[in-house]
Amino acid sequence: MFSMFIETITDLASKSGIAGFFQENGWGFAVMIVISFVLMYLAIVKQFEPLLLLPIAFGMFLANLPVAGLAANIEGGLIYYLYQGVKMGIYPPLIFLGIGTMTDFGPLIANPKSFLLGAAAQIGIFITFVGAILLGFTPQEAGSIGIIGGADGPTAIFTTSKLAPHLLSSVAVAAYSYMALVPIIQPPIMKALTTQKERLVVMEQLRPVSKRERILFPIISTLVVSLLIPDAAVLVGMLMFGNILKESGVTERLSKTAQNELMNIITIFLGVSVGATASADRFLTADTIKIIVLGLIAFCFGTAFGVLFGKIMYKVTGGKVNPLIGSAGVSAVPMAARVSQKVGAEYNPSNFLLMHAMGPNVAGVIGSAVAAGVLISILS
Amino acid sequence: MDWNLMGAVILSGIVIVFLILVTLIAVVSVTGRLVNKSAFEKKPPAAPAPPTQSAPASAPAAPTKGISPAPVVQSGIAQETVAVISASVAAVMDEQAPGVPYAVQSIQRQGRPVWGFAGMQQNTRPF
Repeated sequence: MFSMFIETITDLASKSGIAGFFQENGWGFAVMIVISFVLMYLAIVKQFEPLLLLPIAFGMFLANLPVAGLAANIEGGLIYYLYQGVKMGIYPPLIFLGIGTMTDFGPLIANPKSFLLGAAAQIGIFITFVGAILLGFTPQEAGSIGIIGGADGPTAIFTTSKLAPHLLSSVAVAAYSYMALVPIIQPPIMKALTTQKERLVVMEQLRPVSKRERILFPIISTLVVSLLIPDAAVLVGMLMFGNILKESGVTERLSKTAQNELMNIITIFLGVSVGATASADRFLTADTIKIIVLGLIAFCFGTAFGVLFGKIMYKVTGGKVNPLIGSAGVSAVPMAARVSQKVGAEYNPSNFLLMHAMGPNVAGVIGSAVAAGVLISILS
Repeated sequence: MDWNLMGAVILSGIVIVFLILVTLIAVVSVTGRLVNKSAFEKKPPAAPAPPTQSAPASAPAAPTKGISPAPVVQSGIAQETVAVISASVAAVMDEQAPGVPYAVQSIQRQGRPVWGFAGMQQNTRPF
């Protein structure tokens, strides 16, 4: 009886998760768990994009518990089925639906030229694409890495799930990390590229936007973008669907559901399943480090081109545009617009750039969705 | 390394993104103009406003001895607002300079409303 007891205990021990750490490459699980703890710390203590970073970090933690089989690629488990929503490109458009219900396109409608800043900030995506190719990535992988420069998590995940699903975890972690680090990354670039005189520009108050314009905008935008780039239709279409639910004023219940319950549920599913793709064998590679570096380059170039285009608009308009709003062209909403406001207020506390920066900021969301559509249509 | 593909992606990517967003600028601008124009055309002709509301803000009435004239009020400011502002001025004057004659000569909007400014400051301070 005693020997049977010992045998049972030994058997259980050999099959336990602890034994998994001592198997071949078992150290990778330990490293990944430590990385997940760091991300949890950043999400909880530093509050870096906690709504997504915490589910991603916990998904990463679950996926790397040895023997538990909770990684997204292990067929049959809960996370595997949740991951199908990412793989099939379902969650990111639903996130866009929720974002649409929370987005005010008023500043963009009042000043449509802001679209140019939203477009300029996407140049970083294509420059990084070249960098990634030069570092040995395939064109599909390079497109997925470049899209990090759009600073739009759902768009990055959507593009990567279509072009290079094996890079999903690295791209998602890089995208959300840089989105959280917007207030640290952007200000030095903004200050380096602008003069004191430019930073002090006080912009004219935006005109009021009628309800009719607000209702027509999502319809027109969807029509234009979808007819020209059908691959961007699902992202832009859902973004604008959410927006018309809000602006129409007659579907308040649907709008509230999309921006609260639905958005929260999808965020949980998306975060956990993306995190669970970060198994040690996929994440602990030299490629991950390259992706993180390239993502930073993409983000910096996006910010720089936004500001540089802002400078062009400053010259063309005879000093009526503050170039600081150009950095908001990357689509980290509303963080990038807040950064423009904060940097502007450092030089003139009574200068309110927030609403002016919201125009390029929401234009950046549309711009990055269009850029994603272009990459998918060319590379897939 | 496929340089052709790389060039094609960069060129077509940047050009298409700009092209689509410039198209959106044009369409949104035209829609805005059409909507605002039709809204303006549908507006009924403005009824003649009472003299206190239609008088130009730049021409304040000269105060007469004894009775102060009604303040020149910019069009669009409600009588209730005029009453509240006058009462506030009266309260302040009564407290800080009792017995000193004064008159509210004109009430007009500033470029950015003071309360709007205060609200904006409050909302943007955390950033």
